[in-house]
Amino acid sequence: MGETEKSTRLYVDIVKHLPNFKLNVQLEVGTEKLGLLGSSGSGKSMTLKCIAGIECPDEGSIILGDEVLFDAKKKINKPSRERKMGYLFQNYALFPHMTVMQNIMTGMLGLSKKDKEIKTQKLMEELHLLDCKKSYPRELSGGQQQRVALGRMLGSDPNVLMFDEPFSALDYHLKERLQQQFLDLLEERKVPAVVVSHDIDEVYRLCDKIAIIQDGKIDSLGTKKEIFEKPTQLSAARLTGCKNISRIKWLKDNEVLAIDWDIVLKVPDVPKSYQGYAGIRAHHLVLTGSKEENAFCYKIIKTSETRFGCTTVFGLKETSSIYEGAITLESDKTIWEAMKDNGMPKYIKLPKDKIMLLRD
Amino acid sequence: MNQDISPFIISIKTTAMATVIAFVLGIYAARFVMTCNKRWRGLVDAIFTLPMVLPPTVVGFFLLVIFGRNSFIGSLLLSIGMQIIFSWWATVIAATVVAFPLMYRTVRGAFEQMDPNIIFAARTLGMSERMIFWKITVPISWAGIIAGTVLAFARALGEFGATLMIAGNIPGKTQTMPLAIFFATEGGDMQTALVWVLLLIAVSFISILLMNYSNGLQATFSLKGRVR
Repeated sequence: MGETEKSTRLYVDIVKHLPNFKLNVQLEVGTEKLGLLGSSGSGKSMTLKCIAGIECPDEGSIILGDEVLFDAKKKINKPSRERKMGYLFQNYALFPHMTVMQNIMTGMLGLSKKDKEIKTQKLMEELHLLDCKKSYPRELSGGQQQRVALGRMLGSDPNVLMFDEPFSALDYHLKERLQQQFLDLLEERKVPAVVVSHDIDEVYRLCDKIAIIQDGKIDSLGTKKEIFEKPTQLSAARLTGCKNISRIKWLKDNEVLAIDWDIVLKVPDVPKSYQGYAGIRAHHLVLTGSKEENAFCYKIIKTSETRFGCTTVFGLKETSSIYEGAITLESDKTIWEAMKDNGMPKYIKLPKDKIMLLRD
Repeated sequence: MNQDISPFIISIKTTAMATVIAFVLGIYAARFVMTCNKRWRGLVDAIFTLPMVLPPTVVGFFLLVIFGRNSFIGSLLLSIGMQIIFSWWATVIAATVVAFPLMYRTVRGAFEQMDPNIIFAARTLGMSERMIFWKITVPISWAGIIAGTVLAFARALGEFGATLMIAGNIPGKTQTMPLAIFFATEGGDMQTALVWVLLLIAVSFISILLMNYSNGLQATFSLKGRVR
């Protein structure tokens, strides 16, 4: 249908003064899915609320296609109900006194009763809600409640889809399957989508582009490949799960002193403006028997097992403890056990091409 | 024993009328205060709550000032042939004024307990404020509205002081059950007083039972969306 072929872009450039910090966000989203990744209190939910018109920014503008939704200078502030923004709340915010069917119908204003019923029927089919269409939200499981909220949102034909921590209330074993369904649904509707989350895996799975938000500011913005594989910001490296980060001092063009680990590292060619920090992901570390480039002696401080893997904390200097100067390696459990049985290799290596140089 | 049952009839009529008026005004007042500018909210709330904490004689005094012959409203009503003071309507006004704050506060409490995200969600779905109020806020707060109504009813039923001041004690016209108890006791007719006392206890007891029942409703109507 023509309705779904809208290719509008959403521009956001807003400032809002909050009690603890200043929110200052610039974003542009096309029909791709943008993930807003940040720790709690970083301003990511507030950004969504400003876009939806629930909160009012102090300065700036919000533009969707050629329609101005908010402009502080021109004193334009369209009320939430005129913005056509789909918003999936973290707690779903279903109407407790309405059945599943009634909930989904609420967003279909201005349609005839018959059209509403046809549309609701279609959505309930798509979301596998037909069996519980007469149930009340309190009688549903978390996954069902989420689908009802999704149906209610899609029923209003929103121009932008926004998700506030969409899977945080769900059990682990449900998440992955639901995320797959969720992707299929988004795929069909070619509208800008923004997903707010603090879960790296979730954002990686759901989104094409990622914006890292910290202390109310967008720190990095790029495709997920750029952000995950070549982060240039300290915050991006941390939020994407980089466990090993050290302050550095440049010694030569390709050589730095990693202050926290007390080792000299060979690093890739990058402009020196990137100096400040070096990081390496826990699964990029290699244990080796020969003295190679960037290979160092170690002592094991602590080993802990996870379901499929093994996390080991190494010390590279005599005084290293679990809190300071340590480096973490994550490996497959079977590999780790085989290695332990055959005697541990003597060195730990930080492969040069996997080292990320970061800016604060 | 040939008992005049007019105080019972007058009490029920007065209380019913006062409850209906307080019901409507209380809901609108709660809505008004919720949408009120934060700076004024405290003040408006204080004014609406005042009749609940003031002595009934103070309320009666003010009502006399407002509706008395020499007041603006009193003389206006008099000019169209209506006299409020010492009429049946005076008992309704006195009961309404003291019952209103209970309705207003209970309903407002119910409104405030609602998850604000539910209202935000309704807005993003395109619903108008009016529609949200009647289709979302009021149904979700229904148990609280019932509780407020029962409290208002009970308070209106027991109204004595302000009624005595502006409606007087005219048997068959403005004499409600609480007034009948007072004047029967004063006249030494303990038996008549006891009949009214027992009747009042019975009606009040039933309203408390009703309220407990509505609290039971509230529990099953819990808004915690994720609780199964």
